[in-house]
Amino acid sequence: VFVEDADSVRAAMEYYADQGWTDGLPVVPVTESYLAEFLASVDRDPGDVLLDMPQLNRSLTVRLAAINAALAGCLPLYFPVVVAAWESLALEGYPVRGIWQSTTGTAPFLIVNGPVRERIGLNSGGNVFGSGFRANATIGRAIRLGVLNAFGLRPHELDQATQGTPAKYTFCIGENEEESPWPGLHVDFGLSSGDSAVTAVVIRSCVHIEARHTRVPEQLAIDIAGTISRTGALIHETISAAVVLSPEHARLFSAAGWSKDDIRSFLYSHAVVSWSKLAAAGKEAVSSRTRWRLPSDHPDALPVAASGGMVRVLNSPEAVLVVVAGAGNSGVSAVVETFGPRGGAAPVTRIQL
Amino acid sequence: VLTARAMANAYGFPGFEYVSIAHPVASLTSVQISVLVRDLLPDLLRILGASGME
Repeated sequence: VFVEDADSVRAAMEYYADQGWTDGLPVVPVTESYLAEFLASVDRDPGDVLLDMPQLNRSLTVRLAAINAALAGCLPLYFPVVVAAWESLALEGYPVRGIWQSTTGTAPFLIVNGPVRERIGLNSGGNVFGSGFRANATIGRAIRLGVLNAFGLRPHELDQATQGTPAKYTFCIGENEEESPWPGLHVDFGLSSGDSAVTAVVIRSCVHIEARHTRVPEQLAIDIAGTISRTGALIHETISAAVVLSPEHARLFSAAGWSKDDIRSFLYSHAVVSWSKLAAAGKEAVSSRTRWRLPSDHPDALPVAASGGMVRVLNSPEAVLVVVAGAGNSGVSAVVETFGPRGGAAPVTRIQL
Repeated sequence: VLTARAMANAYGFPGFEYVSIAHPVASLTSVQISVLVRDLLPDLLRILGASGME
C-alpha cells in the first residue's frame, strides 16, 4: 500500500462524510468502473425501481442500490442478495407505508437462505447477531445507506425515531440450515432447498432467551412465549415475532417430534398475558380508531367485553416465524420482535444468481 | 419541526407553513386536546388566510 494512495482514499472518505453519505462510519469511495461491477452481477436494468415511497416522492433504483452497496463495503458478489432484500422489503409492506419515518424506530432484519450463504461467506453460526463477517455487516448496511441516501430518511429530519435500534447499522443473518433439523424458511414458503432467498422483516427489538436448564419442549416453549408476551412490546392489539432458535433448542424440539408449525401453534396458544397485568400497565383496552392499546377509561377505547382471564398477544400461528441460527453450543435463543407478518406469507424473495 | 420542513422540501414546497404542538398527544384527555387546539387555532387561521373569523 502506497502512503499517497492511502491519503487519497482517506480524503475521499472524508469528502463522503462531509456530504452526509454515511451512517456515521466511514464508507468506501465508489467509482463508475467499480459501480459497473455491481451492476454486471445482476440481470437488471439500472433504472428499474426496487422500492417506491410515494409519500416522499422518492424511489430507489437498481443503480442507487448498487451505489449504496458499494459505499457500504459490499463486494459485487453480494449485490444479488442486496437487490432481493430490497424486493423483499417492498413485498413486506411496512417501509412503503412510511414506517421509517415513525417514532417507533424500526430496522430491517434480513434472513438469508440457500447456497448463496456459503458462496459469499455469510455467517449463520456462532455470534450470528454480532460483528465479524463482511457479508453480514455490509449487506445490512447497504440497505441502511440506501434508506439514508436515496430516500433521505435521516435522523432528526425525515426519520423521527425516538430512540431507534442498534439493528439500524446492520441486521443480516444466514439461517443455519446445516444444523437445523427442519427445512429452511424459504422452503416453508414454497421455494426449493437449492434456491437462495432473502426474507426481510421490519423489527423493533431482539430479546435473548436463556434456557440451558431443560430438555422439556413445553418448558422451553413457555419460556419463549413469556418473552413474546411482555407488555412493553404491545403498541398494537397484538404483536408478531421471528423466533430465532439455536441449533440446540431446535434439536430439542425436533427430538420430541415437534415441527416448526407445532411450535407456532403452541406459541399462539401460550403467548398470553393476564388481563389484570395488562390493566396494571394501562393497556387492557384497544382504540376504536388505531387498534392501539390504551386504558379502558380512554375516550377512544372500545368497550372491554370481559375483564379477567388471559389475553392472547398473537392473532394467529402465522404471526410467528421460526428460524434456526447461531452455534450449536448452548441453550440460548432469541425473539426478534417483528412488525409482521400477522397472517399470510412471509416476504420470501428468491435471489437471482 | 425539522421533519415538517424536510417533508415540505420533499414535496417541493420549501416555504410551506405549519403549526406545531408539544408532545405528548396520545395520552391526553379530550379536554386537554381541546385546550391544545384552542391555543393553536389563531396560527392555523392565519396560515389559512382566515384571521379574524375566530
